[in-house]
Amino acid sequence: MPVEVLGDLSRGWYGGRLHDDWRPSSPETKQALLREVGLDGPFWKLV
Amino acid sequence: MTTQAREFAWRLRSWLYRHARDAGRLPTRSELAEGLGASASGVDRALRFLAESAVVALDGAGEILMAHPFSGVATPFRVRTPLGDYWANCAWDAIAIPLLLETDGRCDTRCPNSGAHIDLAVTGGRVEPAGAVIRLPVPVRRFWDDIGFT
Repeated sequence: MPVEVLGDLSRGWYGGRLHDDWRPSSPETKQALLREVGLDGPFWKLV
Repeated sequence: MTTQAREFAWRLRSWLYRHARDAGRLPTRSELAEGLGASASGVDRALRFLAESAVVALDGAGEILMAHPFSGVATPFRVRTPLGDYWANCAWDAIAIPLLLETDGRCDTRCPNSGAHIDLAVTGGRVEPAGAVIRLPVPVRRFWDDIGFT
């Protein structure tokens, strides 16, 4: 995966972890994050 | 697990991430107990809950091995930032740490396949080197089957 894409994914995947109200994202939310940065297909399938 | 115990676990999670950011390393169980004014058994119960929730990974002694993107042990991925230096679990996490901390960062490491030197960097939110590729060893659905391998 290109590092630029990984950077885009990281912002959503890891963002907010320093906030007190952070909770794990649902699989559906993570799937949407992957799709938003163009990561689709069987390898990236969560739900 | 009671609602109160869950709330404590989430409070512990926040505390450990702030500790990681400020101290440059993950806290020990005893540091968590002291910092939160909690019992050792309460800390261990909270850590087990967080591990079952795929929020942290624990080692055999129950200490925090990973709180992504931070690593509790030395790895080939040392991230240097203006805020401090941090151990990352992998190349992805080496990028994620500066982005999480909203700062610049660099990680001099090597490609695990070719051994070639690679200087991962985040500068002003831009990830470098442009065109570099990171390989993920397992499909995303199996990330937590063996998080140490992933």
